[in-house]
Amino acid sequence: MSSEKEFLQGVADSEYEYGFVTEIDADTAPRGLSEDTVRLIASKRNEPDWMVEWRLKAFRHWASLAEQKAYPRWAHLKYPDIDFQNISYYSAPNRKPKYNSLDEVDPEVLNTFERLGISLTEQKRLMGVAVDVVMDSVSVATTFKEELAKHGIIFCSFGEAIENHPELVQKYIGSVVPYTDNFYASLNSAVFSDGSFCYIPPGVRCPMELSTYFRINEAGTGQFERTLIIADKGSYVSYLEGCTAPMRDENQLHAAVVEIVAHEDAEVKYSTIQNWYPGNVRGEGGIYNFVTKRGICDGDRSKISWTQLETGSAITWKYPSVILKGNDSVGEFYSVAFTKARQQADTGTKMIHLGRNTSSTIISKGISAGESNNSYRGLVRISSKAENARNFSQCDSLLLGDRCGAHTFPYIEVNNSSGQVEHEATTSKVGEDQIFYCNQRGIGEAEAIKLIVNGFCKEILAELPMEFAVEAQKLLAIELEGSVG
Amino acid sequence: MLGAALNGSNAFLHERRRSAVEEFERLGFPAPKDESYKYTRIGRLFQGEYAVDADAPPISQSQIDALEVPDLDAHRLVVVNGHFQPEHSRIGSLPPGVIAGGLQDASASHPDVLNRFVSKFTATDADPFEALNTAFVRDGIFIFVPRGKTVEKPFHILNLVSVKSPTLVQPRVVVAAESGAAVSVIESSVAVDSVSPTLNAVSELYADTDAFVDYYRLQLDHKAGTVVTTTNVYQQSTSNARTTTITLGGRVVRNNLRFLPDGEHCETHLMGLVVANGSMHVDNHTSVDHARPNCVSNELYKNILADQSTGVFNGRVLVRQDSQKTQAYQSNRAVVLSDDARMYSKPELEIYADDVMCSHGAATGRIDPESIFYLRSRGLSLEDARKMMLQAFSRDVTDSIRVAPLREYVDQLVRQRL
Repeated sequence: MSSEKEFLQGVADSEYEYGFVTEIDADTAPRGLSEDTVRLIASKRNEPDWMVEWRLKAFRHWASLAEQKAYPRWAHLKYPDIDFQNISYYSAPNRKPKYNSLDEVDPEVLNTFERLGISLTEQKRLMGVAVDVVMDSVSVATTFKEELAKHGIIFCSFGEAIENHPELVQKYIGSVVPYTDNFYASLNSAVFSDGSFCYIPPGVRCPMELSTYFRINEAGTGQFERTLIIADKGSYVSYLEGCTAPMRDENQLHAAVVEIVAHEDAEVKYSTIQNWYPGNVRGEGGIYNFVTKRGICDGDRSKISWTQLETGSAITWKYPSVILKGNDSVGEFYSVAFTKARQQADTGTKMIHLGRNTSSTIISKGISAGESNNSYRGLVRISSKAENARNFSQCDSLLLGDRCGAHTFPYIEVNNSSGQVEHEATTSKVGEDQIFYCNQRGIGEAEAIKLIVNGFCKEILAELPMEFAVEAQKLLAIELEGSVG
Repeated sequence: MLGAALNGSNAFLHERRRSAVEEFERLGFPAPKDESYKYTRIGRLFQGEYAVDADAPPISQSQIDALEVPDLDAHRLVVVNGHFQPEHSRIGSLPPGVIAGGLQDASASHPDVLNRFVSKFTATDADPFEALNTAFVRDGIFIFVPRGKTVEKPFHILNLVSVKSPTLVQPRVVVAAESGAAVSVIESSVAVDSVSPTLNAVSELYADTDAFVDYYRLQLDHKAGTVVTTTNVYQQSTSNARTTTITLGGRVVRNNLRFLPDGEHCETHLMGLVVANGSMHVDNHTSVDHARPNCVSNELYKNILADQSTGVFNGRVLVRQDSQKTQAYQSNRAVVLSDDARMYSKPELEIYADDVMCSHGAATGRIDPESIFYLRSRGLSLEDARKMMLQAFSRDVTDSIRVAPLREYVDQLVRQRL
């Protein structure tokens, strides 16, 4: 057993593999948050008055919450209060021409992605993925725009969308996650720096996976992305978001908002790999990740599917949700959350059934190692009008070590007689019999644990788009590796 | 008011009650945003005016006899408005050393024994209702079974409430089984008048090493208004504790059950059945704190909800660090019969040890249409098929009742209700 122990110890202690800082001159706002900061952000970005007004409304709401100290503290997370006045709310790379081709992009940036193994050029050539790179807050490269434009698809930075498609932004921004939604959504609405905007016109099947890689780059800057995806009638899009961040000693706050609108017969598949700096083994540093992600199945027969692999961040507070408003609409949530060292994750989903014959599936796998805590928190609500609504939830937890925690907090609310909701949860460790079986067949303990963990997550990883699944598997293996080769 | 009742010359109790008053003052009734009362906004039900003690209108022996469980041969203890009534009770013969009677009497006659148990197990998450009961408790029942003794027949505590004006009645029951002892206790609460009382009952159960405690809490009648019950169960190693909570009546019922298996190799069973109609609101809130390794807990709660009724289930299982080899199973099932009925379920697992087997399941839905079809194709009417399915659904809980006459009685009541 000692080698199993060592292996697990190694896993728990293994340091962040992607910790490096890209040195680019940045244009950073002074620390602190006030109406002036909000105006500064808006003016830096040349935003129209309606956007500034919206930001200010959000800011005032946030300020009133902050004054009452109404921080959401209900999650199973322990962290000191965040000093919101000690954060810089804007940072942009200062060489900011709009690039026509990748050659013009700062080679440092390209190099960063090379080191992550996500070479833009390679992806461009091999996979046909259009990548809208968000480096700190401002988009610095967008590819495949022309190909997408042929189909009438709009895929651009949020800033460009405000400039070029104000009618769409005005119509949809805050329609799924209003600025009053929660503390961090309000904060994001006030200070969001940039993000991605995507519109798929009626009947169009997006010919490629849309993808954005976020990176937090400037020391002491929080990053406040905002993503808005609109799938018009009968359209389809698969959207990928992947994250790695450089090593930092200071806690960095990240409060993103993602809104998805799926109209009649539309389908949106949203996949995430999150691998931000989790802090060191003593729990120092690391990203605080407070994200609000929500989609609405607005039209009949629409579908929204969330898939996530969460391995990073010191704190993860994230509940990608679906409001099933259209009749016969479908919501899905597939998640693997891996925590080690002193990481804490409180993540799950909400499925709000409003329409008839709506169905949702939740599969959540939590793996905890070291002294980490990993919680699933979910809500399934069948409203009284949601006839024949159906939900199936499964939450499994795997414990690697005797100093970590795995928790499940499901809320199930059924308000009619035809709704059917099933929830199952199990918690266990890697079975000694399973390891024994592998040992018998000449597989060492370290390999056996990897094998078993991989099998545990397979269901979820299979939901990821192919190229992402490969990356996800690699990431999980690296996470597990630690001291054992 | 404090001096009026239980403590008398019992300094320990006096101190406990004084600190409970402080604790209640600190906690207050649950606020609207209180997470543990999320689905049962109970605080407002305590806003009105009510007395905390009332003179009991006389209750006749025949009234009491009518409330007995048919064919149940038990040591009967009658409590009216929280006060033990020796004249109506029929305790019968007990093994030597067994104490069974009023709490106030025990406080005077056996303070050393009583003080070993009463109010000893304080739950980690303090609850205002328990503190309120402790603060103002006047009387109740004390049952003590000494080392190695088995009480063959069950005790039946008939908790009668008879008031002419809104009154808060707070009975308290303390059951203690010393090592190797075995005892079975049935506690049923009945309101005998039309004024619906507010009940805040607390029962404390202690199972010492190798002891066996089997406890039934029945809320059967429809006249009861707001009912809050607290059942605290404290277990020593290799003990076995079972609770069965049957709720068929009451306007708003909240059952808090807290288990602390504080020794290794404990066995814990929690069973519950709710059959609700009208505008009943029944909330079962259970918590099992696995503080020691090698224990097993098993929990099954079933709800049948008709009309505009609401069912709530919150089951928390906590496995503490180093409580290895814990096995904890939990299941909550609900059948919602009407579009106006609701079920809120929140099974929780909080686990800090790795070598454990823990699972929970929650399912809410209607009666399986295929099973109904099967029965109908064999000639049963829709009504009969439905009843048969629901009865079978409830039997998973009622079948586990170990006292045969009680099992029959509950089963029959459920049948009537369906």
